[in-house]
Amino acid sequence: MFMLNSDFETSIMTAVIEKPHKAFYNLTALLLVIWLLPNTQQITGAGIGGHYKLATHKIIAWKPSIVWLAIIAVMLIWALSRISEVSQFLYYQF
Amino acid sequence: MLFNTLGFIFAFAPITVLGFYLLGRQGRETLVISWLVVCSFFFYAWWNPPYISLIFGSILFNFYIGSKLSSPNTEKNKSLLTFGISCNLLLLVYFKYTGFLIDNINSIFELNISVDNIILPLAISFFTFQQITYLVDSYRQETREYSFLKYCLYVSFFPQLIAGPIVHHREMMPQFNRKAAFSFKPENISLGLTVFIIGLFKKIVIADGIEMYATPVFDAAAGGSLLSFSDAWIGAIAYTLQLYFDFSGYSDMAIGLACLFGIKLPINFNSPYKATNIIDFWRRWHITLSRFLRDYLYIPLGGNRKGNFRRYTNLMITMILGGLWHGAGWTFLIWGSLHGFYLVINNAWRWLVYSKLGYRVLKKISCI
Repeated sequence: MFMLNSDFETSIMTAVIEKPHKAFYNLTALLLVIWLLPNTQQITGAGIGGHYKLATHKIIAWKPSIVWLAIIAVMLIWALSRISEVSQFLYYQF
Repeated sequence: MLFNTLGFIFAFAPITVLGFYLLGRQGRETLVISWLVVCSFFFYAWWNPPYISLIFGSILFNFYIGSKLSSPNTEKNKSLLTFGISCNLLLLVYFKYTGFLIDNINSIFELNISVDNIILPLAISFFTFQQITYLVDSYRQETREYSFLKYCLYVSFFPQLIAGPIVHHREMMPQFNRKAAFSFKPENISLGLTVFIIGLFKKIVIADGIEMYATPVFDAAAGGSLLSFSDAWIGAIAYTLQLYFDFSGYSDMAIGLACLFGIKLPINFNSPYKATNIIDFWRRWHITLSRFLRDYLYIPLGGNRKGNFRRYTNLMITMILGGLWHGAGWTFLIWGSLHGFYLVINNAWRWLVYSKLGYRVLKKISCI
């Protein structure tokens, strides 16, 4: 793990991130998701060019099923529960 | 209107989809297309109603020029194409770069020219590029649109209007012209909702969730604070991830929404952070923009047809302009230049390793 709150920090530095360990674990988890899991098009086959579905990811390939309905329902509820905090897209008004 | 708002999710999108299939059942194509166009303009006008005239004017102009260019009875008219593209670019330059240009002129010549604050119209970077593709494709006789209403739909179709994917007329309109285009298919709804919700989750839960690690760090740096080692790395990695999940989440939502209407949009991301080099990265990141820059800038500049020096120059020009397209500022120009430089290095390395002449050069260097 890289040096958190290391000796490099001098007295004029103030910690911007209050819990760097938590940030480190969260960001590492997301990097693992990005590097190890297939992307949306590989899972669903949606979109032109999204033709990778099933070729290598049979186990998690999307299909209309109770399991996928449950997964998507959880994702929707989770997202809706935080919708009041939403911000604009970074590419909005571009 | 944003995809990630309750009004869009529970009112606008369901009403538009319902209207589409109810009108589609009657088999009246004009009525269905009109419905989608009206809904799309309403979606755009939600941001700033007066600006609807700008996008409408742009559509009208490009449809007229495009129909002249694609007419089989006229000879290839390069000056008309140049005029059409120039007008589009001038509009973009005026709204997007006037402030930046005036600031620089003022600082170089120590002048004090002032301009009113110009509001950047929503989606102008995207609908300008999209319509340039239409003009060029019309000039090449690769596409043609006879119906103004359908052309309006091509430009304004709300899933891809605000931030892409940048689509070609020839890949969109044949889908709307299919016989079964307006027939209800449950699988389109289930797939569309799935992809939309995955995108919504990426945006709201992940991108907005990690924003708290990126924004304070960048704000502190902008405010002149000295960042610690860990803060700087956390901020940089967090923003790298936020940008990806934000934009790929948006693109997923756009693809999912289009799927609800039985339309396939091109994918915009293919796991870019799995790329093994910078060439591979640009084939995976914002794919439809890379495709636009390749087909309508890099290749017309000469591409790789005129030797390595011209090839690398063309790459640099393409990436610098691509950087500037992202924003009016020196940081965007430097960012584009850096990526151009990385691509030149990567391409030069490939040439050294894979071509016979390059291999001989490499062998000579290693002997020295």
